[in-house]
Amino acid sequence: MRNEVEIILSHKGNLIAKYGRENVFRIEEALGELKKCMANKGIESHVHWLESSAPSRVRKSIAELERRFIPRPINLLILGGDDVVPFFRLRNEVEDDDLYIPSDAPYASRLDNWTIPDRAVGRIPGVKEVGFILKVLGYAAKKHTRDTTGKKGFGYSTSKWKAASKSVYEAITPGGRLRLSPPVTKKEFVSKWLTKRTFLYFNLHGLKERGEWYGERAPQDPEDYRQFPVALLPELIPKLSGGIVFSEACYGGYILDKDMKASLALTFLAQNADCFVGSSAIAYGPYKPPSTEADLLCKYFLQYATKGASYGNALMNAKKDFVRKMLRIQGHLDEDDRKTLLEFNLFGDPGLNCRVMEEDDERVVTNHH
Amino acid sequence: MNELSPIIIEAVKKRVTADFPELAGVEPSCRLKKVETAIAEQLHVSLPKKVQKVYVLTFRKEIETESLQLARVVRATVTGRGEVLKVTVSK
Repeated sequence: MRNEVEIILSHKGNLIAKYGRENVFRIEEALGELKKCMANKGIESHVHWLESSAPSRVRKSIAELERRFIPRPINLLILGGDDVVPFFRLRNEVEDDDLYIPSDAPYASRLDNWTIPDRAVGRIPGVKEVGFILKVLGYAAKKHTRDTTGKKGFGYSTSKWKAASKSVYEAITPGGRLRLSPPVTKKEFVSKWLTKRTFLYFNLHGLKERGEWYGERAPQDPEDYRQFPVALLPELIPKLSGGIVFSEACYGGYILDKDMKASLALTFLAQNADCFVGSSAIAYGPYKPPSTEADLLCKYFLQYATKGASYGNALMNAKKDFVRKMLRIQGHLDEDDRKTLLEFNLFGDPGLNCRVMEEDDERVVTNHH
Repeated sequence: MNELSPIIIEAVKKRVTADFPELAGVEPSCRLKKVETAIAEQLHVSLPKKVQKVYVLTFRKEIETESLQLARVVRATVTGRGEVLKVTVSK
């Protein structure tokens, strides 16, 4: 029996307004199946329908729910997109184009300092058609009943950030091969590269209004390479059999008013990735080691997640480790550190985990610390 | 000292444009950073004994190429003595 309790949180009125009553019955059936599968795995879960979807009221409800289960920690699964349970719109302190940061971080935090999470939080978003949410819920249920094996990863970076990306990727897969764009572009990309992988790591460029991610030519690359080639498109994502996806791209996790064609995050979920972690706004990182900002968060998250921590706990613990590290180095968090902590959201069931089976694997992972 | 010396700003500009030549000619904004300690107490982290005054220089430029328009933001964190602590770039 796992110690943590999973709370599935949504707003029925908003779901009905979006999908219709009939389809909400189907969602409730899928939730029943998910709860059953979690119970078989020893996870206690509860569905809670919110009375109000105003973010501050949602946060208050979470605190009240949490008190019921003290001292057991809760995993929080938010069901629905921004139009069902809205993201917080947080102030952006960095001098860039973002007016605000869409974030689930306040739902994860007990205190008003939202940069440090206290709870494992994930969201199964929705698109216009109900099929997406049903599919992702169905996949999560199935995934609770079976272990993942395999230990291979996949890494894809802009050529310009090769050294920085290598430092992240090799911390998880020593000696692993990192694909670079350029020379790889959408034309050379082989969809099969993504299948049967434990984790998929992307350090590419992204734009708010576009669905694709881009590479960037390095100064030493041939001049006939395009400066920012299209590196990956939603239609290149094949059917997966799981996989933890982390994208450092700007707006890699920006899903407001988007459908699958316009979002690689949503496409990965629809194609059976276990989870997707990405940024809802402009993300930052170094162009060479050591890892900071998005690179550092990604490194910590993948280290936890590939060692078997639940994805929600992996992100929570990665954010705490990130804060500790930056405080020790700098003595403070700067604006882009804080933005990094607020803009990276987890999509998928936070209670899912990936147990990577290895012969000499004696690593022990504590889900809460 | 609340303002970063122009000599240091010039040195940082030189360093940033060496790695990002497209930012040549861009005048960075300069902000003195506030140090917060509450967060360290929350996570029981001891801060370094001597926390230096740090500044952030932000370089920003719209890059237009092929069919793509991309905002490049580069942030350099610098001490009052001119030591560059980190340089980060928008993704």
